[in-house]
Amino acid sequence: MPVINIDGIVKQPDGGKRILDNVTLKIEDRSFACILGPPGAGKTTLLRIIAGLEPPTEGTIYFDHQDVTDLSPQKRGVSMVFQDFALYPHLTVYDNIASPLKAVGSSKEEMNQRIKEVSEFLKIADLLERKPEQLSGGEMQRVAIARALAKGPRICLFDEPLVNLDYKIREGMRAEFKLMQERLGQTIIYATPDPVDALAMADKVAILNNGKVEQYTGVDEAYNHPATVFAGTYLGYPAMNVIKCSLVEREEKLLLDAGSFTLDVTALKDKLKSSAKEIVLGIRPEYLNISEEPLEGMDASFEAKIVVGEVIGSDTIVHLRLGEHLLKAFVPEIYRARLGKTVWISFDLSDIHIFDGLTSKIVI
Amino acid sequence: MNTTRRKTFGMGKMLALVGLVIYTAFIAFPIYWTINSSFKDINHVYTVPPSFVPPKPTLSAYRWILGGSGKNALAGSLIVALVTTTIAVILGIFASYAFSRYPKGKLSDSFNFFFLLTIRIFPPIAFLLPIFWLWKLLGLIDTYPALIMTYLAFNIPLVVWILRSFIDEVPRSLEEASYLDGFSFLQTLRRTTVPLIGTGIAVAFALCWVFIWNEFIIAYLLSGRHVLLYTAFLPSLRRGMRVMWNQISAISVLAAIPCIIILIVFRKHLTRMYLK
Repeated sequence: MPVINIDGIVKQPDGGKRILDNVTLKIEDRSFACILGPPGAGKTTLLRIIAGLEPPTEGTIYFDHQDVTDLSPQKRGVSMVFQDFALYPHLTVYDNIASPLKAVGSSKEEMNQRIKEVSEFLKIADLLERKPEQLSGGEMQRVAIARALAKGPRICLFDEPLVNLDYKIREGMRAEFKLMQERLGQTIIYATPDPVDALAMADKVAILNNGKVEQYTGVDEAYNHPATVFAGTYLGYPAMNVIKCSLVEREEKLLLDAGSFTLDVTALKDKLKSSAKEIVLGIRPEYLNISEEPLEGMDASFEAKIVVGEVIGSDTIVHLRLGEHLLKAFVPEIYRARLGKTVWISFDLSDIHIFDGLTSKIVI
Repeated sequence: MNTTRRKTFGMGKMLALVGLVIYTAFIAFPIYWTINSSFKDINHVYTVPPSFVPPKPTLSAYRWILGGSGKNALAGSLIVALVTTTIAVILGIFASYAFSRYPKGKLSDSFNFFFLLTIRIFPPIAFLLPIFWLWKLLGLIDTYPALIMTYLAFNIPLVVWILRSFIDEVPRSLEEASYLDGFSFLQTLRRTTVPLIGTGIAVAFALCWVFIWNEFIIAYLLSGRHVLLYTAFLPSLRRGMRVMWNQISAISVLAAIPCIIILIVFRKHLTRMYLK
């Protein structure tokens, strides 16, 4: 049963351009939904509309089939962790976490009990007497989450909570978010510009671009079967390689002509029958194999030159030049190759994505 | 070498100290002289050479002030200043909130903000004739409402002007977090916004108080037998060719007390504003 039903939300300030354009999402109870998109895509606006901090221009929001579009934020029972944490600077950590409990008039004992629970869960029990200015970024984050969890909300909104934290804390927090959601069973809507957040935590991901939902589905489904070029390139790190090609028929063969190389896609003829002539070829970096000689048993192999190798931890992103195209290949080991070296890149036709060149929508 | 350096530093410090002593004397002497005169008999005020300590200390000036209309004048000033300042700050918080949070609203655009300030840019006397006739027409001359409302008109703009920049600095997300916690707008204003603009409120309160407490023209024109402010009472202390300096000094000493209390109570906030 969907706990949140977002139906045709439009946000358009007077005379301005549309920040959100007909956004429709159904978010399941007790699920972790990620709203993924670049800055300015409308993620924060969407969260604010769900929280009731801003009214939509058009559209309706239902919680459990109840229309809450005109309900004030106080009455929605939704919690939110803000990007800047929004801790009350004049109150101690204890009073910050107690704030939503005070609003509903909890007794002192209830409050102590609840704050003890959430602060121990988030490992901030020894910080309760401090003021926010005495906390580190990661601690402020935990306090903000504790405050959001204190009233035991069914729906918790997170607005880019990891953006202001440094890299090391970010890694640890991802696992904790996931654990927290599994243990406490909230419905979480999590806005982030970082595809790794979505891949690491989300059950479902809504990929937002210019106020429009490009794709909304399970995160693995979105990764393996991107609906649009944008969805394919945005969800995934390193980003999917995209090459503009035209579809041509030559001597009974169906070819993708990318200028500097052609790819034989005769095997996919049935699926490409009604396709437009201008298409976009997409292939994820991890499906490009690099070798000294053409690999046996692969559907396609091309000669390419290494531009640069970018070692990230124990993996390497190899930047290659194939004709006029720059490609990235993901090598799951430390690979230090001489710059300018000629190598072969090979892949299978089953690993490529073909998008319509005009609409950017998926064909295969 | 070290010692010489310490010595020159010592010299600089000495010079600075001497300078400060002279400056302090310059500032403090009039205060001392006022207090000195307030304890003198009127005949000792005019002696040549002047006496630096009252020859026969007496409370007669204070007794005279607190025994007659002087008491009413001080009480009147206290009531008008306290009521006006409090209302100005409370209304000013709401007004500056609107200007800060809804800068493109129908009533709170920059033109209106500027317009609000023009009342403070002109000297009060420029508005006084119409104000006087208005209260006369309404039969409110020599009443508290007329004085309080007139002072409010001049002081709310000042409060708004001070508080707006303070509210601008309070992140909106704090108020939104409070709404999501379950607090209403007014609860949020009281629990979150107001505590965070405490310095601004203290400064606005102090400046309003000083303006009203020291104001003469409005007080002189709008007060009368029923409602008297101490500044309007001062001219009556000149009798023919004789100025009652000891009484003027006594009322000055008494009038300084509320200002000193406000300074002491708000000193933390006022220095913070100065450092800003």
